[in-house]
Amino acid sequence: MMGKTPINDRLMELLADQALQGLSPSESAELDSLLRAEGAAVDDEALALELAAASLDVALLKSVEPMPAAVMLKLMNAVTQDAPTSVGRPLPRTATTASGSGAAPSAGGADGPGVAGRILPGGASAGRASNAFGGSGIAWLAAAAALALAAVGWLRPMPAGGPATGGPTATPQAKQQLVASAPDLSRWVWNALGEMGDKKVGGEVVWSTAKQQGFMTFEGLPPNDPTKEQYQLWIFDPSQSDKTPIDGGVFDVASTGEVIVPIDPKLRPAGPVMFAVTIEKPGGSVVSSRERLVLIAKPT
Amino acid sequence: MQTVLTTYGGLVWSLARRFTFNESDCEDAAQEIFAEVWRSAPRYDPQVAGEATFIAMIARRRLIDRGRKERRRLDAKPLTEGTEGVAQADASRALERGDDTQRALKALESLSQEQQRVLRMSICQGLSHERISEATGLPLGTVKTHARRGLIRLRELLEYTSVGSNATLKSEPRVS
Repeated sequence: MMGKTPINDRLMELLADQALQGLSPSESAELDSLLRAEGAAVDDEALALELAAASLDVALLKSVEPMPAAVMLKLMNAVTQDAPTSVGRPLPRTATTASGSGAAPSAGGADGPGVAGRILPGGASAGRASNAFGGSGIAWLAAAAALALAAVGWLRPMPAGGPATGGPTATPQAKQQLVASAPDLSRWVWNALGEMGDKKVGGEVVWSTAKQQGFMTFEGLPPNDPTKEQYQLWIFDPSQSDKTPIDGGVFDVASTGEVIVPIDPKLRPAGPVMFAVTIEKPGGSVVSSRERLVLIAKPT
Repeated sequence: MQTVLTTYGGLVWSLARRFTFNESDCEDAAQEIFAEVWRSAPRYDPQVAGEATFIAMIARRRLIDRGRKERRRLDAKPLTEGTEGVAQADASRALERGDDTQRALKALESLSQEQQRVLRMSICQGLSHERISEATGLPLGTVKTHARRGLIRLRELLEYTSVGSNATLKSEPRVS
């Protein structure tokens, strides 16, 4: 089938299948391979297809069954157990339109617009700002989530193309661009330890303090189930105590092939001395117990 | 969080009910979905999609993943009256769910009859291509073509086509 189909067509087929019913492991591997060749724009296509499927799903729902009150109460406790008990006042709706400003919001909440990124870049019609079901919940939730992070002082707006809570990857081209343009680029090699000690895990870190940008490359790192655990990067830096390294971002690995992940430091490293990866609960940890320290990288 | 749960609890619950087999599974799925909504909320942009669509997209991801991971085919449920019943959604209900859903229904109507039929069975019931082929008598390849082309056309009609390099809530390949 692949031999008869141009790559772009096959890519779109896989993205459509993914949005409709998910992919088998072999299809997923094939998609990974094609995505590496295509670059970031394909991620947007995938997201657009998922949004199209979701909007039709909502539109065709025969009826909306109320969630049982007992379940709702249980979820309330479960989902927000790590959140602060008081999160201040809700943001106005317009707050969620800001994105990519690079300025961190204040912990007080009134300056909250900076926390909101985008689920897609601009270009869609402004007429879609209406709230389905008339709610304003997500704006409030965005503020609450931001404050939950800001409360511990580790909040930074998501950089363009940077890691989401899940595990986006970067393109080889993006990494190459940094390598080619950063005069102070440093390279680090991963060393597996702990439960990864017997696995052939390789790869490197490239980092530029001047550009405040870097990428992790992994080969052979086992895929994780994001609903159960996620990988998290920690940056050991002279600006911080070794007990509280800088959170470098939470990420997922979907295949054991080469994976490139952009580094997303929550604070500005002055000059990293070591990078480490731990396995944490979904969403990551504010302070790692380091019980599952699986990789460290030191300068080459 | 309470606001989101009370506003969208029913939507998530209804979607989860369709993809799960008992209340316990449904509850677990709903918890996963809202945890993900909680984490993804800072990246929501109302200029791109309505809240219900955003939450439904997260829900669908989780539910499809769960279905595959648990090795439960999404079409394990027997075909019931819902197969076509779901297809005939009440437009007035869609009106209650915001602008996205009205546009989605309108866009759907512009697709071919076969594309509409296949998409409805795929999206509303989570039926696999194979199961749709069995249910409709259409060749598997034809079902796949209708589903894929239909969804791609739908995405174009809904204008979810503006692509760039700074999307932050990326879609990731899902492995069962």
